[in-house]
Amino acid sequence: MALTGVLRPGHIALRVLEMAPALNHYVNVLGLIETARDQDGKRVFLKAWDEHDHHSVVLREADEAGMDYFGWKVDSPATLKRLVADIESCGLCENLEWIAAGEHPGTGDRFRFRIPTGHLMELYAEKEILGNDCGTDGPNVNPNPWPDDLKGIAPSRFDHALLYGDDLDGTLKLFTEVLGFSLSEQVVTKDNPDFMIGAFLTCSNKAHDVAFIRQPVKAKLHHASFELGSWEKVLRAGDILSRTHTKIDIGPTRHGITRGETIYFFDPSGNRNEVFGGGYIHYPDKPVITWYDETLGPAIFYHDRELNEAFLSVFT
Amino acid sequence: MNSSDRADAHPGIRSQRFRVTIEACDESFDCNAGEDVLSAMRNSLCRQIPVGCCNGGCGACRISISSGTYTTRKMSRAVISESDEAARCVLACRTVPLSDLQVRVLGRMWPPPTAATTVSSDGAVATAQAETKAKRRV
Repeated sequence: MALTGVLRPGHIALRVLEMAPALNHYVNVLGLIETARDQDGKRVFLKAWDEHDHHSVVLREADEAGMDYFGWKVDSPATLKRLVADIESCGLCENLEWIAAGEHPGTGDRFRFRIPTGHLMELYAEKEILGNDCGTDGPNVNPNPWPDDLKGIAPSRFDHALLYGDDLDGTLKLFTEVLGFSLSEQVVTKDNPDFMIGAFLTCSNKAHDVAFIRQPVKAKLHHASFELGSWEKVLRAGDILSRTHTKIDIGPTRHGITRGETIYFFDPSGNRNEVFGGGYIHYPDKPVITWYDETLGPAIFYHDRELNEAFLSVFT
Repeated sequence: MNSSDRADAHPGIRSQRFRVTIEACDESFDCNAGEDVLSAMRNSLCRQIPVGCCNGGCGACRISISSGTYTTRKMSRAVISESDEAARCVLACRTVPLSDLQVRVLGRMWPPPTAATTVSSDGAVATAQAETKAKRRV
């Protein structure tokens, strides 16, 4: 198996101000599927239709918007053990702790740690498989290309997040040297190309699985992104967002970085969501793509060639 | 809110409107009963209040209310503290007037107070950029 170690984004836990409007957004507008909720209703677990594992999004009602943590699935319990030892010895992380199996429904032990940009990350190896409901003669047997009864935008998966934080160098070191990620694209200052402003990181064949932008804050969420298959579906997402009076931030447009076709919008607590299509296939031998700070405009929004006002200043 | 209830029950009756005035520039716009201040501004020609997430999370549309009565929906504590709220500092996107209002535009606090102590010399790049943007829009 060529793809080993950290496999992919497994779950993102988001704080929402009010659960009812959040659920309406994530279920009826975005089109995720509810798979479980805590008995007290404080947390709701959801997944996108083509994800086999039990959940990929956790919503928790709280007094602040933003991200609680981001979980990564690793290929085996042995890999989890090895990576935990590496994290413990690297000296880059704080607040290391184990979360017992079952704290998330259907999920094994999770190892949680705070990275240099302030975000809480988790690694885990096991999560119950619910399937994608496409099989016609049992799960995954003679499947249809997509299931019936999809709602709203209906992305196939939780894909990545863009996060804001201060110690980008420390977080980059952790992801590339300890967790085995590759840097696919970087934004640097032209005057000092060693000074990185943005890092786009992949643990897979995707153009990015997580991205960080240097900002003088800790643990902030810029957006949580979900995958659509095509540009036409991004346009359809725009139609659904307008029809449902969902606040669109920008788009549909194209990113220079990753070449993805995108639309940004806000959930009812102000957390930014993205749905996107396209992008390229990453292999570990692909040269790193570099963007200079002076071309950050087209790097982020290739058509407008400038950042919108919200890009740097609006986050949760 | 009785006024919006009445408007919903009798859609034929023209709903009550309140006037929201921005102090520094004396621009003003109408706000329908039950409508939030930021939505009302976006439906007018006024562009004085910065527009962010429009959903109470990001803090871009912070305003301080000098006079008038209003109600608010839940706002993220990361951007509006309890003491802010007590001092009539609110998010325009979550504030519904109950009378005419006089408001002052604050915009997003940058960098956020919780991060001030962690700003490194590196971080100053982004801070300077954001401050320039903030000045431009006020």
